[in-house]
Amino acid sequence: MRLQLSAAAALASLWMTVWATAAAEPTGDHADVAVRTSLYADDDATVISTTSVAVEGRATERATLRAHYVADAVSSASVDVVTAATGRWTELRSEVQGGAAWSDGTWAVTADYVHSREHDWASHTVALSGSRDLFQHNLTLALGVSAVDNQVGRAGDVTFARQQRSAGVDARAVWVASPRDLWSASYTVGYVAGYQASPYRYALVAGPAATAIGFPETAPDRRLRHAVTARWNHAVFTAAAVRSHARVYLDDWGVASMTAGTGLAVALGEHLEVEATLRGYLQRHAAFYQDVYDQPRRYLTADRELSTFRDVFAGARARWRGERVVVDAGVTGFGFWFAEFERLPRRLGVIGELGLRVAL
Amino acid sequence: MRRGRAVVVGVALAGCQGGLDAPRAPVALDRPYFDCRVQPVLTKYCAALACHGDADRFFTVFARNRLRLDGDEAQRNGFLGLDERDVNFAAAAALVDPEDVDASPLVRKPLAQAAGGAFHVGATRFGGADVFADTTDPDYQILSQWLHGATEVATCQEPGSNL
Repeated sequence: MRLQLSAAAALASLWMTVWATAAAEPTGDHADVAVRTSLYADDDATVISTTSVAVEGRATERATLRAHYVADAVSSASVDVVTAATGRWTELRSEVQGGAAWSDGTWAVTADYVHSREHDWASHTVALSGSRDLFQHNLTLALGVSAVDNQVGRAGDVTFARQQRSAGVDARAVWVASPRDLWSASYTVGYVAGYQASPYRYALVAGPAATAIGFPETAPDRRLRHAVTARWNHAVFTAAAVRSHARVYLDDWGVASMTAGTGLAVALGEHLEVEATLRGYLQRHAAFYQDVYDQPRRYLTADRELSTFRDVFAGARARWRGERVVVDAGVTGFGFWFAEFERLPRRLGVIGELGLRVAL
Repeated sequence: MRRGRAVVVGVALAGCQGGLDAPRAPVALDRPYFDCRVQPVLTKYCAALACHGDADRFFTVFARNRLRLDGDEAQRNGFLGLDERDVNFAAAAALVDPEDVDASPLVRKPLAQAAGGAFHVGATRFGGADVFADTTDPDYQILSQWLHGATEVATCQEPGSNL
């Protein structure tokens, strides 16, 4: 039921990925091993438990190999499904990744493959990236490409099989503007082709006698997406940094959004770092989205992630660094407010995380 | 000139696809055939209160002695009203795929998967059997023929109705 929980699962996975990536730079002589676990819970009756194991090791002086395994256990009785007579459901998603990175200190290239599988979804992702440092390593230019092949199914339905493919390009520049300032800017363009509705959801259309009639969801089979992101890390005082970012997103479904966030990280002594973060998001709905449609239309969706909404994330994190061990723990609270989704006008939740990295 | 060209490129890159909120093309479905032939099939197989005789379901069916629009218990076994028939007709039409009527959920959901049907929660709840074992079932044929343009005279009498 990935399509129903795309946002929830993506959020949990995003946070795991971001922090796992941040913790993945090998510092050991031979390899690093990282184990992370997180728990997501919201008041839409959804709980997601995620556990990952990542290994990264030096193959040569310039090359590293890496792999990870992620398991998501999802239990949900979201409004998306209880009204479709499905009731609470649980499922397991598994993801394996293998990759390699090479760097000579100026040039760097990476290649990764990811395979993800759950009972109604299978995905293959290939990603390549390259970067070059310029001006005495004060400027880094990077270019990444990725391609994803998804096979979409429906739980219990052997006759339902759809394909969804996507490709993306990310161009990025990172600039060390001063000893206290690091800037980065990126542009990402992505194209998705194929099935992009949910076989589980029904859109509501105003019917006779003030009723609402359920229509199977339909969505355009192509989508072009653009995003521009800017980041600024600024050192303050002697051992603190403010990390801020802003992002603007547009696509050809009419969705437009803006994200802004900031965080303050402070080193408390030699080993301990604490960080507080705040992020806000505003979105304008897709051109074909209506909470209850006035009449049957070519495209009908009940995806609240295509509606007008805003969300806020606020979190705190602590990281302790030993000589060969890094431990971090964090908690993030969030709220979504859907202005055009009467079935769930608000969703509140929390994500707790714990990570351990050992250098071998 | 250069600025204008940049604006055009920007709009082209970020602009919406055309026709995203266009109305759906109407499906030609005969109302007398529905009232006289299809409604009895829906009443017989779909309208149980634990199934689609539930106002919280996306596909809701009103029927005598089942779910009623006005909620008046004393009238539960009364004849179906025009509003209820209108809703049933609209709900059934919503499950018709105008581009491939044979793939419509209205006929694929109640059909056993072994015979080409789609997953149907109802089949898992009542002994593992779906409504229609195969496409030769006479009641399946009624639904299918309606989707393929079958018509009925306006005076057709549904048994037990006030039509």
